[in-house]
Amino acid sequence: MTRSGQRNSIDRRSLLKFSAASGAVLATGMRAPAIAQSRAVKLGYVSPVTGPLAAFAEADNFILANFKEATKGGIKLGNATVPVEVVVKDSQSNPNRAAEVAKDLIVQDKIDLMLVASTPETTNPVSTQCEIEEVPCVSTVAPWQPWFIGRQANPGGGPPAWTGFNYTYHFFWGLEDVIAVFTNMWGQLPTNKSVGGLFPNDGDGNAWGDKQVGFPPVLEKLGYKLTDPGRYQNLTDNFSAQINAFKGANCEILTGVVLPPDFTTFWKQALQQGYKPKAASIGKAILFPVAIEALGRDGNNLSSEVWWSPSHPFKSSLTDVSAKDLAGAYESATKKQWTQPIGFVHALFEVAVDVLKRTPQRGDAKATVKAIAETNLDTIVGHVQWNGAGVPPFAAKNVTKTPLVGGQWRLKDGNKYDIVIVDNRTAPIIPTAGKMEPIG
Amino acid sequence: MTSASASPPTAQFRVAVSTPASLGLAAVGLLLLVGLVALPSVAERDLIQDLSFVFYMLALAQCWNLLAGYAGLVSVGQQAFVGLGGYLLFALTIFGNLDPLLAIVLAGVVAGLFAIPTGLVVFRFRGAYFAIGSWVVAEVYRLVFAQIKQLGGGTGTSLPPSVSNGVAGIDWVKTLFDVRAPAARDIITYWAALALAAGTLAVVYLLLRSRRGLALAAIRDQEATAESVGINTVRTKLAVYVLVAAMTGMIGALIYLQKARISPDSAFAVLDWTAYVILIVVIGGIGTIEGPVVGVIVFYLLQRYLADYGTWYLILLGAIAIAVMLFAPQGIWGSLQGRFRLALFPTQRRLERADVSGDRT
Amino acid sequence: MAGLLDTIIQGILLGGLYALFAAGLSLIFGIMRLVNLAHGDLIVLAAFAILALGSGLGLDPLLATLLALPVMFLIGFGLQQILLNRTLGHGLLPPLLVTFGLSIIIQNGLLQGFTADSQRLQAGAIETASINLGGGVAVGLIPLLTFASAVIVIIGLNVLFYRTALGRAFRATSDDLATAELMGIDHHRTFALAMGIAMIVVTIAGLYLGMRANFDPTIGPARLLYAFEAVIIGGLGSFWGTLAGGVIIGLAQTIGANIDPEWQILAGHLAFLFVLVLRPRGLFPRALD
Repeated sequence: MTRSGQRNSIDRRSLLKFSAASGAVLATGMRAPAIAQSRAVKLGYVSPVTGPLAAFAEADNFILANFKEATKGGIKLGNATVPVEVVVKDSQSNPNRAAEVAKDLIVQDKIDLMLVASTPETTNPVSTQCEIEEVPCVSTVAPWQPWFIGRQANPGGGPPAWTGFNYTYHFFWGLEDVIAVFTNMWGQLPTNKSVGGLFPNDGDGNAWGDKQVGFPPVLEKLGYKLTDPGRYQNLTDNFSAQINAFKGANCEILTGVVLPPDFTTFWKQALQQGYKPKAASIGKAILFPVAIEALGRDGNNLSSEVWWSPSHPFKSSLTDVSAKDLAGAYESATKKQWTQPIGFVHALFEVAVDVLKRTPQRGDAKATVKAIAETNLDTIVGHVQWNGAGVPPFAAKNVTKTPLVGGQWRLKDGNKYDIVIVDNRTAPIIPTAGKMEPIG
Repeated sequence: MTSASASPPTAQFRVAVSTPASLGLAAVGLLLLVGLVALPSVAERDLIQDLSFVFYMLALAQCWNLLAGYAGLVSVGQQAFVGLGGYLLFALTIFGNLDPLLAIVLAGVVAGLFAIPTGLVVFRFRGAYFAIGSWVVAEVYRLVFAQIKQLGGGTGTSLPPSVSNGVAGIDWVKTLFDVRAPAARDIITYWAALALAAGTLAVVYLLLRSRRGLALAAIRDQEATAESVGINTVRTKLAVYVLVAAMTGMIGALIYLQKARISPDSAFAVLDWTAYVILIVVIGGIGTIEGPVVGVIVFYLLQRYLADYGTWYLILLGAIAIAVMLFAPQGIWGSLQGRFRLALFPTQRRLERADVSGDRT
Repeated sequence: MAGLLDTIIQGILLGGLYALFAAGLSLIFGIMRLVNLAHGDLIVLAAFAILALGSGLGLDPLLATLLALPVMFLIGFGLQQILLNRTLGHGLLPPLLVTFGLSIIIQNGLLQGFTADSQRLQAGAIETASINLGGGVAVGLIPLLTFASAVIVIIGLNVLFYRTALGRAFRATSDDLATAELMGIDHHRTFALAMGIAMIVVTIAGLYLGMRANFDPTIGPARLLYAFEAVIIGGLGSFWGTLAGGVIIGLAQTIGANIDPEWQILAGHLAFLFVLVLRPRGLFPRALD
């Protein structure tokens, strides 16, 4: 602790009260309330509850209710049992706001550990604040490259210029995994190995299309020919330039990381223009069942990476439920189809509780960071341990990866879709339920 | 001959700007400023951070108020200069290795220079066209910065801790207040925000009391007439536009020094850096210097206590925007002023009767 | 060559979409100089109204649109009578701020009522149908219908504006409000009718918005600026001008994208600025601003 807590000091609340009462602005002699020994452990959680990314946070209330239920008796820290408190803040899908609420959580709520999920637009500003404020932070649901490289001072600088972080840790998968999954799926079909790439000019798109760490170098090595017309702006209304380029290069495979409305625009326009690839493996756009349903009957056999599903053979370290039961509980509680972020948001809180339990020195950032680094936990999304496995040396300290497989959306009775896992060569532990089929 | 005392008392008039209240308050204001500078010695970090937010939003509001409330330029594109300033800060500190505080000043100068050609384009438009045109120009800025790969393109980039914690004077503050580096950095940005808020306030006030201020008021009220009495309206407006852009650029640089992460979508966000700023000015009272001060306090309190209500908070914000415009179009301060003839920062010229009784020798 | 032809055709069709988004705006901006920042959100509101009526009553989107038209007309009429009329006549700022408030309220109200899920109006096989023009150029049916609808809407607005008594009242209030009042025109009611009619156009735009791609409560503002650009390029009060403005932006976007996809949206904005710097009042202004 710094001396600031013991000095004569005024905090915001007492100041507001005071100014309301007397109209004065300066006051001395007030003390911040003394920190009681039995205070709760505080977790801060930032997620996009409102705004365009809100679909990612749809399961938050369900997960938080589960979490509160599981920790209602408090958690054991050393010999004491202390209550856990989660302070949730809405980023409004706005990076400015995300940075602001992160600061609030750190300075005002004095959280012990920050948790953040869902797209680089949320994770990056929050992680950046935590790094500066020297507050431990665990993040997920963003491929590690946009999270790690996107936060470098010079993202184009390459490994020697990129440095690791001291307070911020991330678990998810990386581009190398999604590339492996996609190419494995394409390998199941006879194609001309000509690939069209749709990459927007945003955190994900720039990482996927990057000439050093993205799709281009790997595809070239595997004998694929990539047609990349260039970065486009999100919420574009016309994709004829890209469609013509893909038609011209006879791309039998389509890939990219696209916003849901943009993919609908593209896919409908492509079909109108007579461009229909044999395989289309798209990130982000067809993550949620509602987004694939929006395509009507034209979504059948579109493929995507699968980071979590009810058939993942994992269970929660916190509540002991299996992936299948968690998804089932969500569906019966909300009457909505399960989505992939459910598992990861749940896992984020699993990691948090595990870390806290191993940090008896509550509020000590260095000790908490040490506990994060020493995590060795089987969660509902797989094993989480920052041991550098499968991660290049420059990011090995801060990044750990969970398994990734490939799936295809299959139309079933009427307008509903199910995702079927069709390739598990990247993670054989997760069972497949079918084979890759061409779009037809 | 008649004596002087026999002549009827003649009335003389003089033009006055100060009010008794304003003179007394000048002294109080000075005290307040000293108090705010010394505040970090007693205040907790959360208060310092919140006040930084209040100060930079106040500075932005003051700038927009000068533009719209006095020069009649209702711009919806001031985010162009906030984003420009922010990006300049990143470029100057990361690639130019400049000290962040120096970079803030330079960012203001460069933003002012950018404002000259920008102004020449948007000044082709009037009224509603100017509003939309300035917004389009800000979008052009956003899309251009999204293409600069060295600054992260559409992904954006983060300020390395070595830069943000390497602000000049940070060690001095650390030992002076006995705090850690992040808190010391907060105190320095707090002072910078305070300086910018007080600076913009002073600039606006002095400008409005000057001859230029009179010209501005004339243009706002009746542009054609102003022109006919010899005011070069285009030059006067352009001067204000450039001045406001320079100040806005400095504020933008400071904001992104504090946020430490920038991306085109956030830096050029019309909602954060223009729409909310307009809301602040209008809630407080447009066309008064006190209005933005009142408005920013209201906005801060709303956000502080209600933002956690998510959609309902935003719905309330929208309802407030509508309610203010319908029921108190002059804003809170404007309404009070109308009722009580208050003016802390008087800029209006009043005719005062200076009775001279007789003796005129 | 086929590539260039395709680019131009796609650009013109895209312009039809923007003109359809802009037509309602053009009407109210032309008549009462109202800068409606909630226009995009009203289009999304209309799309949700169609969705709710369609799924609630089991109708297909076209029938649901017919039901949504009177509802949206009444919403527009009421909005203008109760709220927007009170903001007019005091400069640019009051309508700007009130419609900004309205925009936030609609967005978050829809978010509260319909969640953040992507929605779509399903139109079946027609969605991907197209007409082959030969030489590798195909025109999608939906874009073609969009363009045709834009043209029909604009013809309709022109007939209304120049051939009817109501249109005379619109023109009179647009040109000289004070004189129109003297002539016994109740401008509040006239404006309310104009907004109601604008909402009918907005509902048609909402149908196409929902059929062509996903929509969610927050997507409204994304295309608002293009609509404003189309109106301003066209010139105040000129509906054909709005169509021309939409086509100019659509063409600039597709041609820009052909050079580099990064240039697509930027090229549209630059075309707008270019036209306006040359002709500050737009191409075919009918009324003085």
